[in-house]
Amino acid sequence: MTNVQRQQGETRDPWLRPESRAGRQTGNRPARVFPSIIVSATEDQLVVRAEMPGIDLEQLDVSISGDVLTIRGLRQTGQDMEDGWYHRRERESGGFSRAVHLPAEVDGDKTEASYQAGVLTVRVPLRREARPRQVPIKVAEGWRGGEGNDVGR
Amino acid sequence: MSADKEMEVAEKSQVDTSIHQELRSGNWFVPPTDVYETAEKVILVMDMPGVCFDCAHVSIVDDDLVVTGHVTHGEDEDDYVLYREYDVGHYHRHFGLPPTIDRTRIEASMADGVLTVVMPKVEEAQPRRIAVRVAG
Repeated sequence: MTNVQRQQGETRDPWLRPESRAGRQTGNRPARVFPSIIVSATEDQLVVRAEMPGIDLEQLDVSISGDVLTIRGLRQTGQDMEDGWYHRRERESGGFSRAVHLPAEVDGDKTEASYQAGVLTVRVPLRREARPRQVPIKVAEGWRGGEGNDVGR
Repeated sequence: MSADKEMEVAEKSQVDTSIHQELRSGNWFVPPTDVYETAEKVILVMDMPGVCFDCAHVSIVDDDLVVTGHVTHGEDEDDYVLYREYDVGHYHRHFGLPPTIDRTRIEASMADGVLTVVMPKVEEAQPRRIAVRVAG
């Protein structure tokens, strides 16, 4: 950060000044589908996490068909407001529908979803065939980095 | 359920830790905030997914409202990440408090990763009717 930027950088963020920010963007703001997800794996399940704060669970639909997980819902951010006016509006709202193609074969019948602190966590058990398995490594006799072409027996 | 508008998601904005050096190491993000004002109060609504209510801290330091949220529900460190679209980290933001706010009556509450701070205005700052008398 240059000296000029440091002087102009806000250390605080008075909301009455609409453009000041206390941080910097990590990059451009691409249009992307909501919600953002993290897909991870444990030994026997896939875990899909999505950050979706302030969601009405009655408006949230999580379904799975084959290995496609669909998350559908509605986020409203202004409904509780009385007569007044916005100084700043940074929180997105609207409908969303996202289909996630899971990267392994899963058993959809046993899918579990939970919502805590604004994070949706969906756990889907892996099919037995899809679970990680140790692969025994056979050492091939005669293969010593270029000496001869005999591989294994 | 129909929707008028499909939601987009914005990249998280990182806190400039060269300015906020009081923050310890780790990822720190600026929580998206709506600021709404009525005749009687100013309301802040901040998204801090992954933060439980007892990990959210709101304090007044000099003329600033300082909000910090520590993430406890973000991800499991034991899990093997296959695909990541967002980073998990804590939240931090300062706001300048105008003198119209009654600092003794600020209240904060949190649910589902959303922190709401209600800041009533001091009596004098609220709209009042002034009676007009007949002159003379």
